[in-house]
Amino acid sequence: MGDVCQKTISYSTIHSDGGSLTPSAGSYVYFPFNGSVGISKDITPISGSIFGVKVMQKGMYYVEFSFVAVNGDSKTYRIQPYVNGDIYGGGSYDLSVRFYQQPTQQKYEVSTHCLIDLNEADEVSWKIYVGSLSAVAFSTINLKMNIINLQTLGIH
Amino acid sequence: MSLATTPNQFTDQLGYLIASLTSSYTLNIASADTWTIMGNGLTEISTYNTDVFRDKMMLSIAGIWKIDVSFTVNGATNDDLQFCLKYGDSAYQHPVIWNAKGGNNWNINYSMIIKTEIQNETIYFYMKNETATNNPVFFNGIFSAIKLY
Repeated sequence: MGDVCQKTISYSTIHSDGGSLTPSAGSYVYFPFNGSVGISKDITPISGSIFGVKVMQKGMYYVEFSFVAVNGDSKTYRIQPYVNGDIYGGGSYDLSVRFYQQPTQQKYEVSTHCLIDLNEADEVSWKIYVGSLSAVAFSTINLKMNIINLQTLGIH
Repeated sequence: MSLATTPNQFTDQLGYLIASLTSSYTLNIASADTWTIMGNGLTEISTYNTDVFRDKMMLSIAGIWKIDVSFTVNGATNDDLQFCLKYGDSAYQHPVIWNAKGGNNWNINYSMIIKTEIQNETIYFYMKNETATNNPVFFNGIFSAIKLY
């Protein structure tokens, strides 16, 4: 069967095996991994070891981001969305979520979402923050980002 | 960056909403194992055919909506907590349940697809402490609705 989607619709799912990630105490840092495309239409992974995507169309996008956090014991971490390297919304709103890594070699499935208003060629990613570094190295497994352009002109 | 300001291209049949917590918000649990409404704290970020009030979402048109909430909770140390939504005269919708181990920051996610039958349907959010009356604290929260059909 042919593609019944309008050309105004775009979507993508990207993933990465993840790996070690050294946060910078007191600063937000990218998830330094290249994304691999699972399925995609008019959205591409960001190049240059940043886990994120670049959109080709303007619109309001629904975006999910998840990964498994490993170790980095006894610290609270924050993640929040960035567009073109800047905090989405300019910091006017708190779009972060936090999670605490128990001192038990914890593997913690962390996930969040956002609706993000994007222009053509904008790049979307998440960054991670920790106030002070853990004595136990922090790492990630199985990063994933799902993104859907909510525009559906012509199909309703 | 600031939010994009050029007009969006949604048709009238669709809608969306995104809101966040204005600041951390303590939910006062009066009694154990009883649903308590989250009565304050939402700040509108962007809406279309929807509205946001301090204590609820409003969906302007009837249809199928996907509601997602991603949030951080701490406090209520080692108690079992639940979170869900309710709209109109619906039942409490399929809660997510977790243990507030250590009273630390827990990242919780909740998602439902619901069918609204009327215009301006209101969506309320609830939490329950199954175990005790210790108060959980919503530390961060992202609340969204997208109209699927």
